Amino acid sequence: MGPTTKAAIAIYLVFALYSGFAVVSVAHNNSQVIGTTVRFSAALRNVTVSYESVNHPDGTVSYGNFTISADIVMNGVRDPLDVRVYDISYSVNIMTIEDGKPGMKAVGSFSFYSMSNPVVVRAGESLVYHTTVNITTDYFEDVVNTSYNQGLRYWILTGGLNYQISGFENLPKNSVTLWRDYSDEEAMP
Amino acid sequence: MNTDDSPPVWGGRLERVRSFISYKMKDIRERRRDYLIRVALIFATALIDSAFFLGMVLPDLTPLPPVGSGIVFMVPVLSGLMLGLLLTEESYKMRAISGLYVIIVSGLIIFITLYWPVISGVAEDIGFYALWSLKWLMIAAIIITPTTLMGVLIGGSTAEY
Repeated sequence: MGPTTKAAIAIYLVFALYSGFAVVSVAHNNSQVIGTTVRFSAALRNVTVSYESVNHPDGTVSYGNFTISADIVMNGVRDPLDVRVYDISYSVNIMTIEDGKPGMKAVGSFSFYSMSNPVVVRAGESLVYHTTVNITTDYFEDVVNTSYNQGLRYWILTGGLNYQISGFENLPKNSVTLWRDYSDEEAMP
Repeated sequence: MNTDDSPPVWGGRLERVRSFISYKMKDIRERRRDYLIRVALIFATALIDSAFFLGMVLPDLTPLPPVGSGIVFMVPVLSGLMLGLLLTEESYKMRAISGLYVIIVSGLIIFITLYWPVISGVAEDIGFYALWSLKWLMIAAIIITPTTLMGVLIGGSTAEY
């Protein structure tokens, strides 16, 4: 074995050493937990109970409306690095009319927004509970003095109960790749 | 006739035994050195092949520059070529067998690296990772096997020439 061959073998082994470092880096990074995923969360938000009465002075219009509305919010977050939140709100209004004409009105809405910040929790933390209670009350009388709106009074009780349970899963780094492949197919986890 | 004072004869035998042992020891040392060089070259080639393949599978996790599909096909050819060139004192048969060893070791390295989250206890979905790693192992076998063998044989032919 000549000196040229020995030198070539040495250079080849040095390059292989760098390749070995690359392999070990991949294995090490592959087993690092960097991301977490919120699997599902649901919230009942903006529960509103209101009563509306209309009394016209001449008696031609007289009725009351009883309204309950609530937003059901469901969030699904799919990707640890590209967090997307699907926010589905559905509002239901139930009205009763005092003059013998009960009715019901349902209004639905869908909204979508995305967050760019990843959700990161410590390893081992599996569930996060988030509870928010908001209650507001409003009472006002309509000051617009038209023939129709005269005597319009509102009692509005607005309550909000947001209860959110979020599931987190610790994921290795390469799960990002896996989830990206998977996330294009379905909208919700 | 041998007598007690016959050192030349006894000394000649001793020298022959010594030279025989020395020859054998030298032979064993050379064989061991060649064997170690062959093993080192096989592992080196397998590491290079698997490093670039893993760089294609998980580009975010490797310190290597971005690896395209063309590079993934070319690296086993070039590393096999180097292996065939550097195994100067081996026969064609041993070169081909060394190429097969490279393929096996590369596959082991690739599978263990991709399956490492399960081995290290991070990932819980064992079946999913096993299938995922096996899928890439199959792709690696399809890519690395013909290219490595071709490179080794071309390198061997070039070395012989």
